[in-house]
Amino acid sequence: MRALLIALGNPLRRDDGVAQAVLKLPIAPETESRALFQLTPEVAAELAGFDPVIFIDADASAADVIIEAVNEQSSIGAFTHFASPSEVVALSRSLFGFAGQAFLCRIPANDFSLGEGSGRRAESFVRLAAERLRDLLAVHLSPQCEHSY
Amino acid sequence: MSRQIVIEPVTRIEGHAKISIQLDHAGGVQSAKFHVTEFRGFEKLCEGRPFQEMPGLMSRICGICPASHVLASSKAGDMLLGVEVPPAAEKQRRLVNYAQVLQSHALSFFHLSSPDLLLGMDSPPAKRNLFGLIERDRDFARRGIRLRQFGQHVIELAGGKRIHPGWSGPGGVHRQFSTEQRDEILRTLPESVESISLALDWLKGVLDSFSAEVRHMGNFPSLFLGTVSNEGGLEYYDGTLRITDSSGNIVADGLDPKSYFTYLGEASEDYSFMKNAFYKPIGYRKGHYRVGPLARLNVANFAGTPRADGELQEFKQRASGAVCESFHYHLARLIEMLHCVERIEELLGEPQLYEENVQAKASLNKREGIGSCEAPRGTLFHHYFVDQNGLMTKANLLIATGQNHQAMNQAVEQTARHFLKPVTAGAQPNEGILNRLEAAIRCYDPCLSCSTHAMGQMPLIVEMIEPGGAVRARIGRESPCELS
Repeated sequence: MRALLIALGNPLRRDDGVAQAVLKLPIAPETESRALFQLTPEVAAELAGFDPVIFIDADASAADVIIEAVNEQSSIGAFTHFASPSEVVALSRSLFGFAGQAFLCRIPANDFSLGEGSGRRAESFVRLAAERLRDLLAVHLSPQCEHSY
Repeated sequence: MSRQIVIEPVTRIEGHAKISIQLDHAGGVQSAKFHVTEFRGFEKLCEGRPFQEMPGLMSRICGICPASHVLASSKAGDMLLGVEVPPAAEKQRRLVNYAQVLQSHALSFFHLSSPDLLLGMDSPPAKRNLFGLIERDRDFARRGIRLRQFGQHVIELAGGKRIHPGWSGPGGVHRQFSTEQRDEILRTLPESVESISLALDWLKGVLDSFSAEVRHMGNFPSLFLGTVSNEGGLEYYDGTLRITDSSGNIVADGLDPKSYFTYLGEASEDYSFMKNAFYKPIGYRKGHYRVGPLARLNVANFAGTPRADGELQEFKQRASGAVCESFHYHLARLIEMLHCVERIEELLGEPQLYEENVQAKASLNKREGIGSCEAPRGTLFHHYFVDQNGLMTKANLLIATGQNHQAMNQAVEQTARHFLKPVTAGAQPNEGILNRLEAAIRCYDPCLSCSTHAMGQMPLIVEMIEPGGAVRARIGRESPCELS
């Protein structure tokens, strides 16, 4: 199985670009990645065949880099032009046969003003996020690791 | 005592808006308005920037139809340079615009409006979403998502990104299109044709069960405006503008989009940040016109592709003149989707699409540039003025949703008059009625980010306001009625 990393955010909004900055660092060879401004429902059609799928996003409420399972029980909102990781994962399981694990990697961020490049604090979290993703994938992509839904 | 009902914000549209309904002393509907309550102002913030930056900057107006803004902006840039773009660039622009219309319409029909159509206008609000659709018809929901994915993928292949592609600029586009990209598109194209055909057959089959909505949810005479080819066919990238009336008569034809300001006027109202547009010879209010899928099908003589032509001729049988029912925007949207896929297939078969020369090079030759195209929601105009250094001094954007503003007001008012029974003090309007008020707006698939160049969120609040302005009752989608 291959892992899929989906980085969300706008690199023209300072720290909002931290997720895409993570993708520029080496993570794991068996990994495919996408850089998106925002999640939309059709992303659900792209998850099948990957395991795990990891969404990476800037988070103003996070104090540390956190990687957690996507909460698939969270409430489903009225779909509009964007979607949350939990909605996309639920859609993908329901309609497109996604059977892997899904994680959300939240990276602390606080400056969402106009401009390129993130602050020093956010950059340190980018490196930390890459390390933690490497650790996670080392476990999940090892031949001994088996999990199913 | 008269009161006012306010729905704020309206749901399942792009942006932040509210609907207010002024009630008369007997509790009946006196008037209704659609207010856009957000503002971002791209026209102002682009001043002082080089015109070459405009396509990239203007694409940020909207995450749904950025390619249309890129195209209108690029065409305004073409005019500033005084060039004609190479054939490969024009075909690539057309390809992306068809993909743009397709993916935007797929979103509007399958994600935003089909919950009302498949589950019913009075179904529980918590079910009126994509997951409700999955429970009812898994294949329908899957096909809707795949259709949008197809359109987005075409944009990504040509433009480099699925949202905010900056691949086009003054003079042409930035990269050559390849036969490998063609082959990738062709692999999933037949599925798209099949999905649209199935959706079309399904919608035509259920229209009778929405006869009240068809008749009373925005069915009124108006002018219609859209771009047509030299032969009078459906056209989205270039051509002239045609205006017809509700009887199907041509009011004006062969209008040059580059002189839009001579025959189209713009006006603002103090209740909304969104501009209004009107046909100048008739004047403000009486000269209001509709744009978008319904208007395009009404003004065009033919589609120019086999399947869409068959559907268009059938569509035109629905009225002796123009099709005036706003509800039929949905049907028109599906016919346009079919046309777009057919055109995409045609374009992929044209050798010029793959030519190497994709950029006409020139320096600034004019101080004023105007670009227009058909965006998913209707005719789009970008009008720029620059100084001798090519820096923007002024921009005017005339957006489809703004041109439909008066029509949306009229649709809401007609829907309220028909479906909203006299409201006694303290009574709460039926939720399904409120949904119909929103659905009347959704027929137009308004993009408020585009029309005010802003972004927002979408819960729902209804307020009943007394003549003095005091709030009589406040009803929220996520909270129970609060009566004052």
